[in-house]
Amino acid sequence: MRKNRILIVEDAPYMREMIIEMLNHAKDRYEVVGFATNGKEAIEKYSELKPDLVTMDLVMEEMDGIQAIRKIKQEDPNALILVITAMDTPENRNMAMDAGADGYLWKPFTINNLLDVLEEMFGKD
Amino acid sequence: MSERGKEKERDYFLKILDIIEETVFVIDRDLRILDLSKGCLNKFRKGVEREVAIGKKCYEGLWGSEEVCEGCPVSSVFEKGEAARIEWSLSLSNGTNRYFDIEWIPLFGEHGEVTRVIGDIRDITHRKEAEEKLAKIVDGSSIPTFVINGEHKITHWNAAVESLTGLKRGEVVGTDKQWLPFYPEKRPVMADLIVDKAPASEYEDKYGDKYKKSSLIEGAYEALDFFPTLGKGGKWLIFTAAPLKDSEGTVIGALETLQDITEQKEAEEQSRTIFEHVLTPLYLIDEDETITSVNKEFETLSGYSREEVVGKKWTEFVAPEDLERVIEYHHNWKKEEPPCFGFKFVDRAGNTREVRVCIEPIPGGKIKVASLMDLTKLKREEELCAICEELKELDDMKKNFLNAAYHELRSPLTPIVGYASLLKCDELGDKQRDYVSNIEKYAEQLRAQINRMLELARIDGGEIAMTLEDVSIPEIVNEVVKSFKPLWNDKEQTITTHVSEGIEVRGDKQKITAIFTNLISNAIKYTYEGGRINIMAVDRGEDIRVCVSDTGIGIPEKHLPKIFERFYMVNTSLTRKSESLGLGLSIIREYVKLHGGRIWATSEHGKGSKFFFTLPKKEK
Repeated sequence: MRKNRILIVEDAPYMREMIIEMLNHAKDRYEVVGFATNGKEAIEKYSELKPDLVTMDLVMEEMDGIQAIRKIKQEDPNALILVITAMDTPENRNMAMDAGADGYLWKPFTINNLLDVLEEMFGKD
Repeated sequence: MSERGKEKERDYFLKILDIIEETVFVIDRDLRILDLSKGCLNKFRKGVEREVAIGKKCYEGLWGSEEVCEGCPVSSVFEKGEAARIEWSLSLSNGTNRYFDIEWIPLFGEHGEVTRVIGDIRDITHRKEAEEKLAKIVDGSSIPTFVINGEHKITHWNAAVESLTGLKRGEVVGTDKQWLPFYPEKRPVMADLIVDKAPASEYEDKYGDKYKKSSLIEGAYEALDFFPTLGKGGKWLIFTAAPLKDSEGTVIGALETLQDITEQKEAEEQSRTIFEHVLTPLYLIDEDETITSVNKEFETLSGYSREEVVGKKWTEFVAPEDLERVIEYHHNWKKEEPPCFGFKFVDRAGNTREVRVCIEPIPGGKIKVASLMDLTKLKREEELCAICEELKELDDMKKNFLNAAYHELRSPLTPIVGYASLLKCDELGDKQRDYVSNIEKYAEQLRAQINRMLELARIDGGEIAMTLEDVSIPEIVNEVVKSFKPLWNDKEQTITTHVSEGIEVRGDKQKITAIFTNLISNAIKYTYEGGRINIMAVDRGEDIRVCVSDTGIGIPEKHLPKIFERFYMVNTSLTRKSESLGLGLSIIREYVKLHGGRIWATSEHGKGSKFFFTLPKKEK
């Protein structure tokens, strides 16, 4: 069974580590192929790695997550993007969805929260 | 009567005619002069003997005319036997034009037939000329004027009074409708009172204290009054009525002039209103520095009533140590300097305050207006303003702090929750599993608390959006009660609901659910095992009223008014588990307020609490 390749976009190192740790518990299904610390890097890494899914933080330096989502979706309308954020206001959620995000996960979250949302997103395909 | 008797009578008659100055003559049916008085000859045929005139036609014998006068009523006097009167304008042989008033009186013979007619001529040239002159003056005047005669009939009504009243002279001259434009029903106007030589009591009765005797014209009166039916919104008129007298001083009519002072009056009212209501203390002073008037704000500043102040010198309000300086400045003041200076003002209670006064003369009069600025008050307001600014800054800081705290607290919470969940994936002993559960439980409480803080910060910042829809109350109540079932089952509590099927409100479903969630979870939390909780919703017509009651520990009465305040804790030994009362009730109060409703509580300590709130009904 082919593993789903995941790109993590997140500026806090401990968050990146934790997401990697969580995905390690489902090694048979997911493989982390790389990470980016801001929106600009995310776009570069996306075209380079062509991952199956991107986890996207919203508040980052250089370029924020909303802009990055828009750019990536422009390049590849089939890209799967999961927003992971602490900014859980209805306005932010709407903005992310308008930009083209496919899933939404609020911080804080458990391993089960993350795996459930991923399963749901890949299940849709 | 014998011939001799007749002769004698005629002698008497002639003698009378000889001595009287009146212009009297007797004519027969053919208009021939039978007799005429000396006065008649003196008036018309000076130096001519009576015999020359006698036997001539009257028009020829008296004024040398060859034709019978126009409109001569004599033949009708002979026929009807009734006296007649006519005014004639005659050009005399000396070329002058004169007016005569001639009365024709019939004389009757033995069989009751008219045998002769006496003509009694009065020269009314003076009166006629005066009348014409008056007409010229009145008609040519731009002041609204009308004239009535001794019989109260209007004789003159000029163009200006036409335009003021809207009544044309043709409609009123000859009538006694002088009251019509001014009053709703017939009553004497001032000119009528003049003609009637009314006593002062009559003026008082008709005009109250609004009238006075004219200081300029003897026997004239004037008054000022408002006439609501004139013009668009009524008019203020000064009206002056003066008697018209003949050469003997008899009142034969009255002339009334009207002056429309509506504009001045309105300007005056405007100035008066501004003077009275402007939020600056003002007083008026006359030449010798005496106060003639003060406004409301001055009364407030000084503590004196205007009755106490008027008549005093304004310098009485100056503190003794400033008096000399103020008087000197005021007296030596030159036009090029600003008429403003500061001093210490002493009010009625003896308190002094710093003020600045500006004294400006009112053009065209001797009165000056003085305006005060209360520097002490200004200073205090500035201080208050500064405090306000500081408070606003503090409030902003609080908001920023709350926002920052929210994010700063939330960030480390993410790995705590995340790693705790990871830990549980490993093989753990029972103890370790308990520890992780505790970490998760308290992390969840912390998360909920942080969320409440953020929610309040957003409510304060007006950032809460309402999504309005028709919301079914029984549906929400059932859902919330069901979601808490494990909790109330554990405590063996009974929950009953009295909510009619169709009750719907207009509101934000998420927020209404939060209100029920908070109240029901509190009720479960603060009620003993085996207690009862009841939820009731009633349609009261204008709104929906909900009551969540329990048989729990209750709230001491002194705490009741404060339980909706932020972070308020009811500190009794029974409420050591009150950790989340802090913000929950504050938030739901804001939610209820956002819906335009009200929330309150009643409680009997030890027996239970009742929480009530109202919500707007579904739109029809």
